[in-house]
Amino acid sequence: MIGVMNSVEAVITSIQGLSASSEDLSALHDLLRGAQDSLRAEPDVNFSILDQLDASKHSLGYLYFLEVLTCGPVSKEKASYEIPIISRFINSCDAGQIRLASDKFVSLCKRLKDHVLELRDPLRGVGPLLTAVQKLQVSTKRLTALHPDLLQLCLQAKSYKSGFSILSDDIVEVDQPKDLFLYCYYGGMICIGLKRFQKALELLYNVVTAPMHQVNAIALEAYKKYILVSLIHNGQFTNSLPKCASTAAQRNFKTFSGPYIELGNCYNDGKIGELEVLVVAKSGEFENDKNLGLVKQAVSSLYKRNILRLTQKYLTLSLQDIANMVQLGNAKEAEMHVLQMIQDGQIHALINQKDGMVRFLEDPEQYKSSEMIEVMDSVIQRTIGLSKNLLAMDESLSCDPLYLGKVGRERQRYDFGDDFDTVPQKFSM
Amino acid sequence: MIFPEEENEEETKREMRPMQLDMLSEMDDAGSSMAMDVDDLEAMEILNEGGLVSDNKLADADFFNKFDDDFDDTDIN
Repeated sequence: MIGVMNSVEAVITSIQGLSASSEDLSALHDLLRGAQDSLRAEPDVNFSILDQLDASKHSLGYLYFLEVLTCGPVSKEKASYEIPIISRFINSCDAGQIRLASDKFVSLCKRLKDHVLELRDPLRGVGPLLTAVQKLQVSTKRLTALHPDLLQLCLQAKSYKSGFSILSDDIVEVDQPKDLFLYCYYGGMICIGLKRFQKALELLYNVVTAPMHQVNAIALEAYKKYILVSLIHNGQFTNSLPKCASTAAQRNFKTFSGPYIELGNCYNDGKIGELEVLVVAKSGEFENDKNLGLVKQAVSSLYKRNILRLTQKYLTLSLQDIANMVQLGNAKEAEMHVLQMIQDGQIHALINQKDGMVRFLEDPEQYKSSEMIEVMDSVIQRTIGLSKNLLAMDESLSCDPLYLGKVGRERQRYDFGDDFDTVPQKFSM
Repeated sequence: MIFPEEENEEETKREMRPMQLDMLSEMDDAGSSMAMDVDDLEAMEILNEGGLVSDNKLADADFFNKFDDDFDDTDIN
């Protein structure tokens, strides 16, 4: 045991001495990789060892020890003890050092997530994981393995605004497809919670249309929500998937989402009574999917859609007429819907309380205010940036050996004649 | 062109919009998701993308999805 502790002490001394410069850190990292198995095997290595290290100056070494100390089965006692230690480390650690051992840092943060869930207190993990994502990310364009975990905790803690803060970046670099699927699916749910339905649609669309060789359960659940959010936000349902969706999705999604397809088709017919009967009949399936609340929002949106259609045909209508035409119970219900739509900016109208008449107005926005110009400028800048990213990705792909190899194979299958040069032999894989 | 106002026994006034505005409502029926010009289905099959799923095998079927159903606005109202 004395020999073992001497070896542990030697590691501590190395960490203390080799954490200052990048060259020293590289040497330290090699040393730690070599020592980690022996550290893991030693039962006498305990948390008191960390008192000899500074989490901000010796982050790499601290991380190695902390990862060893926190491994093993999760329990409430372990969770209560380790959560503050891991949280303090995440807040104090040096981003440059922990990126050298990003796998270990991710593993430690996932352990924090397991702990807060064990204690049924997901909110405790939101702040530390948000900090962890910001420290782990080399660039805001790169998705990390921690993004989905953070969003999951935000959803469980109902801390939607914290989750939304990491959804505004344009992600263009992804390591694992599953991380992207979860990021988009959970992110879509965060946006639904905040009623940012346009953003929700964009995120859900990304996972519905993502390349996949096999039907993905995450994409399937995203498709169900995509249908519902399309109804709520756009007031319509399109039976066919986007053309850029994978063959696996095109052939199989509808099979697994029958009640949602039925709901969408019934919604398109515009008949509230039939829609409500269908919702009752299929409520079991919607409840199992935890989508019943969203389905109810979709039903409510049909009233709004029908009112919106009235604004396109009439300049004035009585509240009672509106109620009759869209099958609401009475004029009071019609007034509530119209008021909500005015508040949400879906329609522009004036209600005369005396005679119960509604006058529908044109959109007063003339798109020439300074605020609107700022919005347009921001969108244009973002579009330019995305366009540059796309061009760079296209150039990179056109030089990728794997891609060229596949293209080369398919050119051999189809005879294009002498008009095209054949792909060089070395790329025919 | 303005349509004549309709009147019923309760003298409810419904003023309709000019005809040209009615045409705009038909444009709302256009699909909200514009199809991209991409490879056709046959080309995608060449790339060996998935076919019909058998035995309900879904990738990532064990992903966490046990959230509360929090999106019922009637709870708030």
